[in-house]
Amino acid sequence: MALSTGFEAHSALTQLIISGLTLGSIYALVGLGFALIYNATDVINFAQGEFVMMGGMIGVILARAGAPLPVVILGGAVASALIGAVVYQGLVLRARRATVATVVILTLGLSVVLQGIALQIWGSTPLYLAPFTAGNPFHVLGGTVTYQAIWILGAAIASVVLLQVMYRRTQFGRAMVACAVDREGACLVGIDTRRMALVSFALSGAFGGLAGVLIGPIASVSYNEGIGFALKGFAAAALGGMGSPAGALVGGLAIGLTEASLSSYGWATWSDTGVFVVLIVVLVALPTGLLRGRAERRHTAAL
Amino acid sequence: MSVRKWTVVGIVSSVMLALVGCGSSSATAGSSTPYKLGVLDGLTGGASVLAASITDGMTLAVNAVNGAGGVNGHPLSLDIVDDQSQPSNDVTLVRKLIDSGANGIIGPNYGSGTIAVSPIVKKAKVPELAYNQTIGITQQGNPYIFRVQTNDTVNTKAALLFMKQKFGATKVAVLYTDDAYGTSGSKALQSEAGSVGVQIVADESMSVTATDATPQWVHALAAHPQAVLLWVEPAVDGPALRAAAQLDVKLPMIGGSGFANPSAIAAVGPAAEGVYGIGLVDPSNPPVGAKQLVALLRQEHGSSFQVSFLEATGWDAVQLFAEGLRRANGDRNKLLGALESIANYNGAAGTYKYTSTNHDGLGLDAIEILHVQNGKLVGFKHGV
Repeated sequence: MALSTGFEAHSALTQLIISGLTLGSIYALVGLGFALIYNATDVINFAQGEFVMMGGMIGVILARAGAPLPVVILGGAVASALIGAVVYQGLVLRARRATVATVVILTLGLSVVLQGIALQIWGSTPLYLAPFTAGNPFHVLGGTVTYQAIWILGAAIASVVLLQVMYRRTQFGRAMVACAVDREGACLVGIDTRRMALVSFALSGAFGGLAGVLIGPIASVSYNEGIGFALKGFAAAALGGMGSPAGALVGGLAIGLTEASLSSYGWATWSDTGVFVVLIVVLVALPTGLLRGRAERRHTAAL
Repeated sequence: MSVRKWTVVGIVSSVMLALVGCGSSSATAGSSTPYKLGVLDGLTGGASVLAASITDGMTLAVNAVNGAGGVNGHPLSLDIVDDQSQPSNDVTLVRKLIDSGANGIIGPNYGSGTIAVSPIVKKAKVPELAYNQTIGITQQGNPYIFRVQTNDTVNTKAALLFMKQKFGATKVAVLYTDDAYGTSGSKALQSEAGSVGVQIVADESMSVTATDATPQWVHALAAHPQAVLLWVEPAVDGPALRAAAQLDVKLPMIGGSGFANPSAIAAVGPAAEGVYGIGLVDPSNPPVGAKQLVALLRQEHGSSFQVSFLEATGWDAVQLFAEGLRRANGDRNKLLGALESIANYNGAAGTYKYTSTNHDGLGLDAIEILHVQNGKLVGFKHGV
């Protein structure tokens, strides 16, 4: 009996790059969230992965309720943005007198709490989303590209561009940059630093939620998926240069490509290890990351 | 604070998280001293997709045994603890269960967990009924470990034979997760392939936390297989089969027990359609030993409930312990010999044939080939 695979791969290298860029774009979106919150508060928010999970879960609920695709995508992003805002107002702001390290631990605790809530609400069975655009994949340079990969890569690039435009072209964005450079100084010239931090948490949640919806048709949406994305997203932000949106994109793509390379050549077992080995090597050589992220700030007291 | 310090904070905190244990327990009431059974399972984490069904089967079995008067007048009680799907947690938890007076241990879900607790149950002389397929668990020279499942040799042989008989496939690719379940399955496939006249042309591993399986599929398909065998953890079924669907793969596929259960199928969605699975129970035609279990499950979950090997093995583990305790008259020192004397027990998942030298229980005759049709597992063929 003659059997057809229905698919012929001509170039493993092209496919590796396509897969790496797809996954890397997700890590970049999560990394953007880390960068935003870090810039506004100096905090590494390890609940960032739960924004991804919550966004995916809300997206699944909306999709199952028959909501159109734009509502599914926006709904996931907005829900996580709201969670981000609540996290800032209800937790980070109240703990403003604590050290940054304490707040980081608080975000880890929050991550566990959010997982527990998700487990109680949605159970342990993974959920999924249908691909945003139906249809067979197409071939480019011997590799196969799915429409979902285009959605993911496009969303990551658009997010970075929008963030860069906001930082450089808008009054609000410049105020956020001022907070990132010197929060006390920004406060002295009349910038509402708390409002900036609140918006940063909300935007960070939105990027996480967007990543959660986008990855839904490829991976599964599960209550415990967050920590994996948080670690890779943190690695993306640190590798690219902590605090830099472009750095998060470059770092995310580098991590995605590293992971895909190891998986493609039979080293899947080492893919997580490989990612963090690359991170360690780069940070030892370039402590501020590939794109020279923000240098360490000396005044970190005022949240 | 420098990036390195944050990294240290992250790592230390992650380790702390991993060490946090969330226990849960359930027990049934009884008038005289209960015979306690300790259960290790992943109520949270990667194995949690399976755990609810397995423990459901156990709870129903305990209720059924106690409802029928218990074991020699003693009720059974269950102490179910959550290992968070982390085999590293099992060592501590099994010690606690044994110290609290468990007559026997059921679980844990991962073969690597069973291997980890093996020296402890051996030293404590407490029998363990494990529902793993990992071949090695009954080959450690530890007489206290019994299998309540088919092993990987049986399952992989069945998968290879079915693909060859049904599709004429003599060249197959294997996708497996890099944990004990996947690697044991992959090794078994490699060693069984020759005997059934099939060649493994690609052998691709995936992380248990994988979110995209496209690279593995591309590598596997480049070897031009005629069929694909999936030996991955349930949490990875989704990414693996969704990548296949998005790459428009049309090859016949068959999954191991990590796939052939309703909760895994539901989690995968439409990408599971048409895929075959190695199971132990045909939901529409369950074996005689599963009749009471099916009736109770339908009473609890509704008349359309589909029984799977998960509820069946959970049920069987409790029933086998009950039978062993009955034969040993409740004497812990005689329980090992009593279990080894259960040579022809018609359970819900098949006929168990334990002896002093065979602790594997189920064989090829227990295999049910299942097929996903309209989102449900349907019995396709009994035995191979």
